Amino acid sequence: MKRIRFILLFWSVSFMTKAQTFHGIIFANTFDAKIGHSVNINYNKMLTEFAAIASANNMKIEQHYFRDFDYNKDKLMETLNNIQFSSQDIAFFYHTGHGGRATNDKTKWPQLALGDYDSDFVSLNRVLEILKQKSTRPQLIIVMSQSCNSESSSLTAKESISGGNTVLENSTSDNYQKLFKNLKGTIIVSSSSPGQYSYSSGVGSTFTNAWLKELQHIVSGNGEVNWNTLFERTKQRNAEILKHTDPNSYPQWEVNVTSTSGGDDDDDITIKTNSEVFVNDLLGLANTRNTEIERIRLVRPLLQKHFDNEFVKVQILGKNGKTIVERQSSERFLKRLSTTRRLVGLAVLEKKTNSNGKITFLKIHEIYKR
Amino acid sequence: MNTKLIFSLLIIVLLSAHGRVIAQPDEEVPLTDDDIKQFKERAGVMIDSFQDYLSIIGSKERPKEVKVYYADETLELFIRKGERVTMEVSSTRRTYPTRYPLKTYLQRLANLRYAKVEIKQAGIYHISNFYKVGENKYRAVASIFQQFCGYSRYGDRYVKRYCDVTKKTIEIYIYLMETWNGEKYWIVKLGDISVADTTPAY
Amino acid sequence: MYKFYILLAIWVFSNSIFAQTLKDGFNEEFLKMRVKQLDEFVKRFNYETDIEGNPIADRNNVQKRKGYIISLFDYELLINKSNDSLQKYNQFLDAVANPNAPVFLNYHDSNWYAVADCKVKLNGKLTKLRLVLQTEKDKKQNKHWVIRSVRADFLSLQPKKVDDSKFISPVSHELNFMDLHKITTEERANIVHYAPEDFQVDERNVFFYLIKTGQLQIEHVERIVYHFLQVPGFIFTVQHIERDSNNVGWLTSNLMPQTLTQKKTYKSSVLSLNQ
Repeated sequence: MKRIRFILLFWSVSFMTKAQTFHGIIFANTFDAKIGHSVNINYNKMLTEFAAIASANNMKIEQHYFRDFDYNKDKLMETLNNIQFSSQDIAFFYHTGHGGRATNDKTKWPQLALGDYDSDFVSLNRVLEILKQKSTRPQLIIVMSQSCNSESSSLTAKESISGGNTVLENSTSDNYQKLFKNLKGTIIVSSSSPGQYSYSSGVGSTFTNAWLKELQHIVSGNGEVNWNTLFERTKQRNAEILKHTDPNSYPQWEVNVTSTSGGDDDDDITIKTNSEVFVNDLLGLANTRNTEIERIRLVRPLLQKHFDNEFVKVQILGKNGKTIVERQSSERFLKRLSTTRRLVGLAVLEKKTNSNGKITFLKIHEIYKR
Repeated sequence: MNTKLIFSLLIIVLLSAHGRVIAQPDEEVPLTDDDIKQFKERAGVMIDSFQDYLSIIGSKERPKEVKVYYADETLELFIRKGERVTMEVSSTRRTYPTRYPLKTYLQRLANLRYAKVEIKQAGIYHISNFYKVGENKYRAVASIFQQFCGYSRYGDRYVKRYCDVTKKTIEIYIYLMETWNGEKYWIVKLGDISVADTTPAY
Repeated sequence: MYKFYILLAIWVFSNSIFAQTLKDGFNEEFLKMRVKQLDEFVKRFNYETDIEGNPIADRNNVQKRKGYIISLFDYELLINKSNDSLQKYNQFLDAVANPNAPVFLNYHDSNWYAVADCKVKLNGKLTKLRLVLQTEKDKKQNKHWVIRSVRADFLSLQPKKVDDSKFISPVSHELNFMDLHKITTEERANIVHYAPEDFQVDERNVFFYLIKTGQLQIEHVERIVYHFLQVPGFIFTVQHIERDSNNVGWLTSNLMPQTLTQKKTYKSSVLSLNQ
């Protein structure tokens, strides 16, 4: 009987209902010799932010994250063509890498450089069109490109990286929902306008950092909660950073959204499922709907299921995707998760496995509610 | 005698080889403002966990196994795993607070002679700035508010016997550690807990 | 002046209609408004964070900053006061929130002090002592508080009545200073009198000595008042005020218009900073 209960526990949190899903799609050119470092930082930050957005909106998250060797046009087209949505889903596409435009380009949106040849370039608005034309279109589509980057030695690491909202207050979640779940339509944004460059430094790209910073301000209650305000403030912050480097570089956007009646009526943020089994199991361990004893007794089985041994290094990163705020062994990590009462989301930033598929190293970001 | 000494030294070397943290490093390693901000948020998460754990440990409905497990988790939040960490406890019936070693406090909390115990924390608290207090060491203080109520049982009903709201301060440390193989990393932990003020709650 | 009244009215009005939201027995709104730490006082004074601790995006809003500064006053200083007595608050707000030269408080400022009134035991007997502390940063950028002055009756080395007849005789050198022992026995009340005329007693030395020899212990701190001298033309104090209200915690307890000369006098007379 106990065995059956454990099996049920493993699957209970994976049981699919008609929950809304947040589809995070990231394509990051982390291998590039010139910009790879800051692209990697952007990748980590956006991945973390996607987890926070999904948690705050009480949505499941489906992760479609591609970097290193997977950053190519074939993978992009395959992902865009195969991805499936339900009508209440949200799709957020984020690209970070090189970009450009042709001299006779009729659209103002950049082409994303997914390879070295002209045929490897894909227009940002083509990404939007593909997503809009899916047989079941998601409720809200956002496509964002951080491109035309070039390293600038005159930029120093002054900009405070967005470090807020690992912890979600109910008011913050409400504001996140005003920006995502409660809207339908499309949003397209690029970090620079036609003919302009985008910039990055040792702490990531300026537009992405500015956008994340302003997003945190707005969801914390500092300002009007809408996309146009968010982008205007991002533009100002971006301009402030670049005033001595390139005052002629600024983002552009089009917001075509209307309000919905809102999604499900959960007042409190609760754990939602994740497409990845490992993350799902961790969220199950942290789920307070199970008793303390049940959660404690899950530690050993999960340790054996997922980790190579009990001493595997686990690093917990802050919201900036850079600062390691805690280091634990895999056993310590799972024990802590088995007692936490406020965890609502997880973002895996790096995971190494051996030939048996067991984890030998893990970097993760945790999202809590208050 | 020599054999015993050699054997002891060998044991120490073998234990160190398991990557235990052994010493604080000598040179200053910079910590950026952004890093401190990340640690400050982490400290907030740890304080929330600490308060949640106390309500489990003090609860009369949980089995001993659970309380012991949560007490161990509580100690992991503190410097030196709670060794030599003190917890001040106050009462509206006493003028000055009493200080206990943290482990002793947790044991006492688990065995209070009330039929029912409720420990709740306010959602609002404040963490001060972190200040550099030594080589590779920073310190801050958090102010939290905690309500404690104890009940007696009369038949099938519970009667409140004692209730107070206490403002407490928790020390928070960020310090640099170094493993046996020279790897350096910053760590955030909680420290001593003091009582700032206690008032009756009704 | 009317602008001050508007700010004051808004503050008073908003304080009185705060919803009594109780969450698990705590009044969350009161707890938000409560100035829980001195750090929090400084951040609100500087208009860096709001009452929930969130960073304020637009810190250049002068009127809003003034509103925050008013909210940090103990309201008993402001309610039912005459126009004349409220004038200084208006001037203070203008001085602090001057858009051309705004004043911000900083932990590292050299002109703010903590005055701690302590209960101490001197040779087993309970008595009082006042410590004045200031922040300091050492060469390694470590920060700490240091004792700038100490005041207590028992630290004074001055005799109750100076006896001019007691001195070390001008011919003592001819007597091999054989009477020196008397200054440590029957004449010890006058001990300071045997120092040169320009000798200044630093009561901290006496304090440190008594601590080191185990004769003096600090039992606990009874009260702390912070004195801020950074704002041009003003000195204000901050202390902890406890009441069942949302105007509670670390609040401005006194505001005094002071010129530079008056500030110097204040430092020596109130803070004993001539030590």
